[in-house]
Amino acid sequence: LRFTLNGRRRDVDAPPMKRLLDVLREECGLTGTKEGCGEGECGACTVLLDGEAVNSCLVPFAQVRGASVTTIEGLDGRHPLQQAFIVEGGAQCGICTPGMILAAVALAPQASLEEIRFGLAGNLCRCTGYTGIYRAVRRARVQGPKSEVRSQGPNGGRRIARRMRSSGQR
Amino acid sequence: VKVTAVQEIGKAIHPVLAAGQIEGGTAQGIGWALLEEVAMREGRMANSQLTNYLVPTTLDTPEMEVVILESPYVHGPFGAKGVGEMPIDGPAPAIVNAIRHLGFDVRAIPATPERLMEAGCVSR
Repeated sequence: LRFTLNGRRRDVDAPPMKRLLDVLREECGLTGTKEGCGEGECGACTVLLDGEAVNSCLVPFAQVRGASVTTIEGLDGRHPLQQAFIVEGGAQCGICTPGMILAAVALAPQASLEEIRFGLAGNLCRCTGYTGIYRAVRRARVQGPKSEVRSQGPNGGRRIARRMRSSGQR
Repeated sequence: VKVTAVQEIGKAIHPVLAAGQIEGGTAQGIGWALLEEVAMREGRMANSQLTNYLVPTTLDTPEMEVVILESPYVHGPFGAKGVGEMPIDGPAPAIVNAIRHLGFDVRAIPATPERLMEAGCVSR
């Protein structure tokens, strides 16, 4: 089944009903995506599917045919959000962090604090009380336009920004 | 609603992480006070999923302000005391006292809507 993974075209052989989460971790070797609850409650396994934040434990692999998937590895460690999470204490134990960062990537660039809270409500964090995460998201935004995913799929990050603006939050 | 958490922790060796411990413990304390009911059935936890054991989300966690009081502790490493455990202790008494102040005789936590309803009915 062909799809785009972190900007590169991939052809992966896996059962169609296998969870996208497991395909990413087992077939693709990308273990940055974490399994939390496995039932769509916690958001630890959040990835971007065509720019939209989804729980990869609830997505059958067949659904990503031709789509663009972004995992935490796709941000390369240098995304402003990743740096801001380090500086502001947005990460403690780290299990929620990959999903939290990708959910934050999907937020509108100029989201208010209330919109950030609403947009991240599907991602549970037990360590930080969310306060450090808000600081990190706001810090990353101040650092400029780079806080969008680039080079993912045909339209790059612009598609994400447009969609999130027009449809509100996830 | 806003929470102000004040902790005296000796010397804050890494202020960002120390504040993070206080913020996180406070959020857990809020969950303990209002949401996190453990139901036991035949010796087992009956609600061991996040669908029925509720932990605070972003929408359940209010704005927080953290105040760190530093007073270096001579017996601790580099003047530090502990910071991981204390922050969870404050929120439940504070929240329950606030609820009682409104006239609901809450005697157990979490002070779930069901418990408030019960307490409200008894007091009438």
